[in-house]
Amino acid sequence: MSSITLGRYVPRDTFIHRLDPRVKILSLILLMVAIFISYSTWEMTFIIGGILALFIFLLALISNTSFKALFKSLRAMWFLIIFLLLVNVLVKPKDAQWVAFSIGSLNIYWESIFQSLKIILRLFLMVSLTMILTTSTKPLDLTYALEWYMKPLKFIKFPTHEVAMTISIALRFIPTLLNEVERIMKAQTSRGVDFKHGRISSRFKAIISLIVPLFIASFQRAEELADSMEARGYNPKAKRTTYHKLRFSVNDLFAFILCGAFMAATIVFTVMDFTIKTPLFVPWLVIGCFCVLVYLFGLGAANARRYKK
Amino acid sequence: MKIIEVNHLSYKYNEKDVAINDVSFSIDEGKYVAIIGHNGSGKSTFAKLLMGLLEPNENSIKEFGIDLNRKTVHELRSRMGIVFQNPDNQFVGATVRDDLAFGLENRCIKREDMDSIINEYAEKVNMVEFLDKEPENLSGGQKQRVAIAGVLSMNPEIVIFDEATAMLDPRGKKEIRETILKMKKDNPGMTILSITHDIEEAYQADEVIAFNDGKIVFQGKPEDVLKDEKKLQEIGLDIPFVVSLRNKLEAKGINVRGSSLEEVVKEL
Amino acid sequence: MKLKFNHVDFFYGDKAPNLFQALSDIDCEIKEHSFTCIVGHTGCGKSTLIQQLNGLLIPSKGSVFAGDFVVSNNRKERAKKLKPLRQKVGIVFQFSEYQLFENTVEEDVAFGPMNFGVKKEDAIKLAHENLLQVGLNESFFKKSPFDLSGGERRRVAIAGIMAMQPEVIVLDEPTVGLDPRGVKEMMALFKKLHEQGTTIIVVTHDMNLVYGYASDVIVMDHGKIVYQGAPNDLFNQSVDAYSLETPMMTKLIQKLEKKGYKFDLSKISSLDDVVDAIAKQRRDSK
Repeated sequence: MSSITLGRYVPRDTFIHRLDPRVKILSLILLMVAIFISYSTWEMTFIIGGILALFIFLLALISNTSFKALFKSLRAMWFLIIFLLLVNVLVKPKDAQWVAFSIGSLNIYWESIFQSLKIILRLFLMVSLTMILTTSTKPLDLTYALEWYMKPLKFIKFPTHEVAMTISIALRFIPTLLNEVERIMKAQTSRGVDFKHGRISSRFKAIISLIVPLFIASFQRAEELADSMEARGYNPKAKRTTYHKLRFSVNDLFAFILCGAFMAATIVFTVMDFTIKTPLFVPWLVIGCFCVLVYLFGLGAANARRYKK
Repeated sequence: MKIIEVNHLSYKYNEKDVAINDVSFSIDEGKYVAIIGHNGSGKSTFAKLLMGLLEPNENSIKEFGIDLNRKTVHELRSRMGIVFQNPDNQFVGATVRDDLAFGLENRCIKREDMDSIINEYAEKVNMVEFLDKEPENLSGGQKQRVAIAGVLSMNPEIVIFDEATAMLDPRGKKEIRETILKMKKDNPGMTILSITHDIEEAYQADEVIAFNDGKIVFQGKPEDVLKDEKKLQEIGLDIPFVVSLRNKLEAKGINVRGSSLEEVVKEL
Repeated sequence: MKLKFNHVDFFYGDKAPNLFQALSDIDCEIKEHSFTCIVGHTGCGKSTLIQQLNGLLIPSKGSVFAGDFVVSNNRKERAKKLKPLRQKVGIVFQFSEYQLFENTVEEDVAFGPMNFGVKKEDAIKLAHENLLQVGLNESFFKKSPFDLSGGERRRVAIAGIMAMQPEVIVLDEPTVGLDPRGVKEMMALFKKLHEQGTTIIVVTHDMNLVYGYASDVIVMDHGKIVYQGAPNDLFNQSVDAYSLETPMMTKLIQKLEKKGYKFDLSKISSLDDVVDAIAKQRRDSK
């Protein structure tokens, strides 16, 4: 259960909680880009990584995210981290020269140690960012934001509203289904099922005795829910108004510009180094920017009507 | 005025499973009608047919004088509401507020007007302080009250309760019964159909319709039709306590006429 | 099998801010071969209480004795493993119709006994016996449980627990959602099991059932036992004190007593008895 509660929304009233979820999602993407861009030198990587870590630390502070939870999330990844460390340290990088120490005939290079540290840092920054987003934003608001971003897809007949509705109902029913799981597990335990111990065949049977009833009950729930929604006049094809309005304020603009600047700066840093090695990078960047612009234009067009009112 | 007219209505889920078998009757506007019958007698199927959630045979159901078919179903449905049995499976929104908004969104109510409507109807069912609560933090009775508020906010002319209290504890049952009575008082013109097992509730209704094996066994005033204990037992139902007491006293030569426990005891 | 709670506390959650005390100082005994009803409002701790009986929940403090078994937080006291206890104390959960999963009804009922080491042929035999006992005849044995009605599926689930041949059967609100006939048949089944020597514990809200069937009743409120004893005494004292629903019979008798009628409660078990007493007293007064 604890892994499910990790990163769960914590209702608070902070600057970050109040931000427009659309801005938060976009900012997350911008900062992720900044995190994952390859910098040419180690020094560069750790300087920028350090600044980002500081920035994220600040975000966590403002949004009142518990640092205990952040470290718990890192602890949840320990297996992955050890695996990455081992692989990176044991495999010799291409042009590694700088030997840190040797175990028998095996040389361990500083380059591989840096490489693993870089991956761990990136993982940690990425997980922290996501956790700050999910603990400071209601799942439903995220759904609305995603629906807003998917709007341009409507032009290719993608059922954006249905997808958003599906996600929001799924979110609504997670606690209900968890209760159901608990109830069925207890009922089957009372019939002598052991979910924790036993041979593979009996454990398989134990899982079946949980999954089948859960599915049957969920199908019935879904059917009743559909009836109820239909009776309340829900028609996915028909026009609906929306109760939730996502508000874009000055604060949002500020947050967006800040994160955008971060990404832009990191890109500029990289590009300056990159241009020397890869001359084709600039045209690619221009094409990329153009695509983003087109998408933003699509967004504007799709949401134009909302602002006219 | 006859608000619901049913003519030779039949419905089967498959060849073997005939749920409703050639039923005809009508319901007057503004009545509180209890529909009783044992589990599987066809009464819930009947409720779904009235709401157009199942498709009835042609020209068999008229509501507000309009024939229920594929073309009219959305319009007719918008003038009716239904509260189902399971409190969890009709809660769509993430919070009480969102759930009430869901129905308003479907009705294309302007966003600016929603908050006042939500508050108004939450007040009517005493749920204002719970507006921002999630369903997992509400009791069954509270969830059903939200469902009732959701239905009322649509200004329906007919409200159907499909065993709305069956899964609640006594406290929840009481809450819902009181809410329904208040609703009836506030909207005297509203027609209420209550599908129920609770014979004591049926005894309070204006009219009782009893289903058995997809057919109507009897229809009439509770005083007239809920008398014969044997007949009621045959269709899997109880007899109201007071009626049973009266019958037994009568067999001993003591005639009383009261229709509630208080009245009967007074006469003794 | 004697069941005894010895100063049991139970908390949900593991750390201070999320801690919720569901049971506090439960100290009581449920008699062997009794028909005990546990009543109280939703959230009063009834369901938590019964889950201690087969070790699904372990008391945070205190211990539960079930025959030779001890369910307690203390490892030394908890000498035997809990699985054999689950065979002795069978719990049928609420909405048990949603716990069936096998292809046929008989296999589902046989699932429990087989988990406790009964051979397949014997388990199927047990399944048949118990299905007949809950009123499902041969035509149901090979059916898929998912083709049955809700009430029938609930019977299959109950047969599934009965087939484990427990000494105690605990049922959490077994009559919710059933129609009056279903309720009567269900209660008749428990009565029959009780007469055959099984200890029956029913968690319910329906005070009319308590009136008609229970030999003992436990009333819970806010995690505590506020009343334990015979149902008649409870109804004669004040049920209102525990804000429970008064059974119709008790209401009638109380109202009549106010008017001057007198009843010997030990002789009254149905409405007919009350009516007889009324008729007699009216004749006498004339």
